[in-house]
Amino acid sequence: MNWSRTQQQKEILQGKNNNTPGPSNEKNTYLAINAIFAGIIILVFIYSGFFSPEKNNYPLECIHEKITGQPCPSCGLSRSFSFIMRGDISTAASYNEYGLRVFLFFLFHLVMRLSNIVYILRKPVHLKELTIIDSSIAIITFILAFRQFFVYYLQLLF
Amino acid sequence: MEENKTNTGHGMGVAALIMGIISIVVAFIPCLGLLAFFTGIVAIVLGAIGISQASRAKAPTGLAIGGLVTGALALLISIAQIVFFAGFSKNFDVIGDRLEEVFEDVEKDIREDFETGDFKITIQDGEEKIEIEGSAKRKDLRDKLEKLEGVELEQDTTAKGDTTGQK
Repeated sequence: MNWSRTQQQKEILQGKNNNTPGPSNEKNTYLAINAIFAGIIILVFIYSGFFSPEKNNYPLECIHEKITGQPCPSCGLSRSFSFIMRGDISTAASYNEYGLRVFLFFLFHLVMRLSNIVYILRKPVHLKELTIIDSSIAIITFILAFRQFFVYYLQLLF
Repeated sequence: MEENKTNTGHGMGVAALIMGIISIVVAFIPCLGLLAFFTGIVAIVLGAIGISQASRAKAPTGLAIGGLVTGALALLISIAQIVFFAGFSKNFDVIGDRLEEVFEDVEKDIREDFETGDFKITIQDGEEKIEIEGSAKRKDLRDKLEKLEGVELEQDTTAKGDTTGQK
């Protein structure tokens, strides 16, 4: 039983059987998803580090403020991220009070994605359980980090 | 009997799921929420293609369904924002009308005040006291203006007369 699974994994790795879904293919998918999200988070950090809050040369502008003329709870988030990247936490908090929380969410997920990649590559894992735990943590941390924005949306609608 | 499963639609499913998750994160940032409308649609389209390909080949559709659901959720949040903005622009017209009414009222009040307004300015420094009394009544102002213009005209004519006399 174990032998046949190993054989199948070997075949998939050798590209002989790469069209068959199996544990190895699922593992590769999970690895790819983790790697893509880690890459996206790194890009967010590069964006924050590259653009300067002093020059205020951010290419993305607040659509909400453009339409309503009023600032929204996420206004100043880019500048806040830039200040955090430069180690100035107090100024970052003055630009957006939720900036640090959202930044920590991204940082936490970057660490989690990278450790997932290392863990999966090194040890045999139960992918189903890992996916469930991963998704649950992602949803909980997302709600914790973005809860003020949820509240804002609810206030807008009701 | 072993079931012959394939991997068709798997790539589309992964792409849909990634796009869907990104859309949800973007949708919940108020500054960028409207962008989720487009990314959400992309996630839904990718998810639908993934489901269609996978179901035709009897392959697993979990990832594609996940992408479709997250994309749809992001799209709904984005649409809610659009509805709010539409409501805001509608209200903005009402606010604009109200502002016009307020400005008209203020203008009317100022006009009325100027028709009946008198003013008195008192400057006091110790025992010294200067009082300036005046009227901002339109009629008075007009009379004063006519009076001043009359004096000026008289002065002009006398000045002109003098010069001609000298010639």
